[in-house]
Amino acid sequence: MGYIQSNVTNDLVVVDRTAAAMRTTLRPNEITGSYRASLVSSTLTFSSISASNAILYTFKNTGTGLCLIKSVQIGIQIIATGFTTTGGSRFSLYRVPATFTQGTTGGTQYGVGGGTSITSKKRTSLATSAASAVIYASGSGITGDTATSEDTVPHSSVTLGGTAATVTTFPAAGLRDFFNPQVPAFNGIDMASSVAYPLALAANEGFRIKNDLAFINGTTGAGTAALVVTVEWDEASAY
Amino acid sequence: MAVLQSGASTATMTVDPTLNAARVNLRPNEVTGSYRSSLISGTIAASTAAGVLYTFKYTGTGVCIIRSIQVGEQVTTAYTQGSMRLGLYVVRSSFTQGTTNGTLTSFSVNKKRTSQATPNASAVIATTTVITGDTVGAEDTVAYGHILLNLPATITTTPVDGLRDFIGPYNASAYPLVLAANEGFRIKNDTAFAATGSGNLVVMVEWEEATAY
Repeated sequence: MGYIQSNVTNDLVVVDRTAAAMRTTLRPNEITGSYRASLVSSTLTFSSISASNAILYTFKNTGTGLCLIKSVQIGIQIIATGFTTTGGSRFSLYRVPATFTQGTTGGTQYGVGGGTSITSKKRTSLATSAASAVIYASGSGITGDTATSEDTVPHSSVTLGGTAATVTTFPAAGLRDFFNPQVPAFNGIDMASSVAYPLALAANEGFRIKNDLAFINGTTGAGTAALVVTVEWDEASAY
Repeated sequence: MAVLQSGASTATMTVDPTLNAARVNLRPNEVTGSYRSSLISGTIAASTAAGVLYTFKYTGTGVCIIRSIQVGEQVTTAYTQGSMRLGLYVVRSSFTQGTTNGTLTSFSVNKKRTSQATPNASAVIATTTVITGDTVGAEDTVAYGHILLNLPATITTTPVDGLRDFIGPYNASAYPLVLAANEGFRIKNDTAFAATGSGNLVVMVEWEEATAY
């Protein structure tokens, strides 16, 4: 017969009598920091993205440890002018497993190397993040990347519905996650995400988000909108 | 060979024979209290400019663990069809909540269990336009999260059903947003409300307070 005793007090683990089950609590993994950054592009004319596979967002681990990507969410806010041509919007996320250099032409860089620090720690006392992110800012997308080893098959994709001629948002409410199915907030605990193997980026690895289709087939000047991309990640020396 | 016995009774832990798995049950983290509050704004007027609509501050001496921040709006007067982007920004220091155009709630109830300690948090929600008077020493430039909401041309709710969470469905193993003493967050509309229309914003926050985490 044995007991499990705390290493800091004399408290003992309790086993509930009816279920014969030991009480446990879930804690986060061992990490150096946990972060969440929601970037918004400037208000843009999206009709200038007239080709498929334009690069709209890039993320890179510039540290020496691991970057554990927990969530990547996306949405578009149409601000002033709706899109003139009806069409679907689908985005894909591609892993860049080695030798990733982020271009900044047509993009705004945040975090390491960027003009604005990513201070979005989940706790002020955590270490400064080693991540760098670039979001679409002008023209036909971000250019200047070196990403020759990028996966040819997307890591994940997300659809946001048809474009619209009205001022609205895609999706109509909230954002959509590349990794997790849409789950209304009232569905409670997201147990699947708690135990899923995360996208783990080694040093100098990253990912890119592209539009799978020409963004719209519309008229120049249409589609005045802003792109929102929210990424949640942990950084750790090992995993 | 050891059999695991409870520290509080003679109960012992079972290992199920087919999967050879130990029986465990999940318990909440060690907290002084766990709370949930849903505040409703006044009727926010058309054309309300970008600004602060909700603030939350932890006034205790331990830590405040934010589990969920959900928003939605009940449209009471139809909008000119539009869109809204709400951003959540973490305030790291020297946070004083202004109450001009806002209603202050110093939480004293809202417990998940009556026997728990009184919460050490306060929130301000907008009345008819953006809140002013905050003193903010250091606020993150990059938002912690965003929620997009369609502003409909009909009297309805946005989203159509339920609320939307800045953080996402409660991921029990994710590192939570942990506020230290006098830290907090603010929710802002990044873009002005549509020229016509009005509605009541709903903001629901779920949090725990603990001496350490």
